[in-house]
Amino acid sequence: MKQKMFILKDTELDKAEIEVRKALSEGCFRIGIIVVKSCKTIGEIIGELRRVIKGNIYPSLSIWVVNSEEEAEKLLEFELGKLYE
Amino acid sequence: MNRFDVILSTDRSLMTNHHGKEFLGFGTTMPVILPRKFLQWLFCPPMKHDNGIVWQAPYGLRRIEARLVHDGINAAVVDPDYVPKYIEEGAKVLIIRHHDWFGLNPPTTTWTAFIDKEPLNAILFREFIESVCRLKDKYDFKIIVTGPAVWQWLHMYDLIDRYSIDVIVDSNGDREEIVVSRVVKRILEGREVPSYIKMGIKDNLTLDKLVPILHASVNGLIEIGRGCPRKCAFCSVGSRPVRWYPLDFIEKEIQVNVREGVNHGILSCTDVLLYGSDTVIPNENAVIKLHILAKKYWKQVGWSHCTLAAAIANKKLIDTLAEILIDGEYQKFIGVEVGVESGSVKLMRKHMPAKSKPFPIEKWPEIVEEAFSLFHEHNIIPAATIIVGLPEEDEDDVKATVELIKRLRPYRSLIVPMFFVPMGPSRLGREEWFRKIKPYHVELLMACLDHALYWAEKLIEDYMNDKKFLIIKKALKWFIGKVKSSRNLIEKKLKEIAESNYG
Repeated sequence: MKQKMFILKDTELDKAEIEVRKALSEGCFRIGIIVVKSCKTIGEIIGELRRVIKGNIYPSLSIWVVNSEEEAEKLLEFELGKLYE
Repeated sequence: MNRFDVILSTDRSLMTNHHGKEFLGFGTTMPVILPRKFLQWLFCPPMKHDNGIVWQAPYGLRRIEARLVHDGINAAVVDPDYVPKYIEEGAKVLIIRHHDWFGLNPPTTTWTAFIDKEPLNAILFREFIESVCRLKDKYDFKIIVTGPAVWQWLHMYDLIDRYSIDVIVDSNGDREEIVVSRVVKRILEGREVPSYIKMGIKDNLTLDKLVPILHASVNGLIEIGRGCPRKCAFCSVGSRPVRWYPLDFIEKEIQVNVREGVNHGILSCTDVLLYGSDTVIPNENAVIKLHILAKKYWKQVGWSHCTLAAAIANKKLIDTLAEILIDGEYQKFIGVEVGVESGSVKLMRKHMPAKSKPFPIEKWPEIVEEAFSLFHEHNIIPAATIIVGLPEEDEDDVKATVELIKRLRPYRSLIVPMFFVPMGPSRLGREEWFRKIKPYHVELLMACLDHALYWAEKLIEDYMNDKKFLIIKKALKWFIGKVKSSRNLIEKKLKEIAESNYG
């Protein structure tokens, strides 16, 4: 199944819905959102993404919270199938 | 005491067999309006165990346990009181599964709209998780939360931090065991894992990946299929395609239960009458084979859910199934949950147009009444739900539902009002919660209560006909008596609440 991972800062989580829709339009049904944490807690990040999670019932979504852009870059190549299959 | 790398558990509201009477489990959704010890004794007594290894466990936990063991992971389901001991012994991962973490599901939401007290199940979970997360200061282990109601964490997100939750698996029951197993493996190998994982509809479980449970499930409840063909907008299960488990798989899970001393069981899915069917018309042959198989092993067989339209679609089948199951000795009736949801054709057409299939939705009230009558004749006792406050509901819709409930009075049943909750993931998952009744809802709530009071004592007699339930039966009858004597006061209170909500 086609997948897509993208990186967001925790201050720009409002962009998540658009990025998910873009991924869906590209035929990606496994989507990973990598969030670089700076000022928010993991709970706050997940809470802020609630509408994205609840509203998108077709794709498989995963939210990865990391502490730096370097960590986020490394995760970009992660094969999501390792979690689902 | 054995050491496990992974332990699975839940709080006492679920780690119990409710005295062998599954329906008593609903009592745990009640706010603590009576002494708590009494409520716990009545609705969720402790589970028998050996050094914390429980006799029966919730089916969902059993499925994950089976998958983990199948994947070579040393795992077991343990009693909540023993979780600290197993963590002290070196467990690295604790998996917690629940279906109403914070008391936000429809039954609890409905209770708490009128009674400003915390529901019993929410208290039990809070106490359990607080005791567990305190251990994190001392021991190195991760907490995974999973199950069909993890969407509740999205509404209580500050608790993700407070309770140090590491991973939330939002599977709605599908592919859950596989994903949890993958996450656990990664944790045990010290690799990174996501904080939240949600399985989409495109990632449905294929039947070849199923692993049967290894130990007894609570009251022998076993799943016979997943998904639903009716796709009602409020329901999360309905968004999944239908898959029926093969009979040999079902037989293995029944055998596990019987081997461990559970001689009664519940066939669980969205519509037992559609077992083996690709449509909304029952596959007579498959359903009969399933029931003959279940009755071969179990003295009593219950259904988790069925639909009223499927019952009407093949009335002869209902006749046959009642004949197979109700032997007059061990089993005198069949209990089942059904969705009436509304008496309003307008609302049904809007949110659940396929609920009436293969009949037109315009016939919905007639279908409901006909099915109730059919069930009454065959000693099938439905516990029906009504959804209060569906999006776009108005006074006429509520009146239509009241009318329908009144027509159902002659039929042995319970009718339970449930406030609309935007459960996720569903097509109504982003809608607003219904919390405040309007004056015209009072008549609806009272119609449900009057129906319950009319039938309650008779149902308790039938449901608890064994001598061993004498004390529980007395306690329930005492409670019903209290409600009966307070009937007018309840109505007055409801009117006051409705008026204060909308001035």
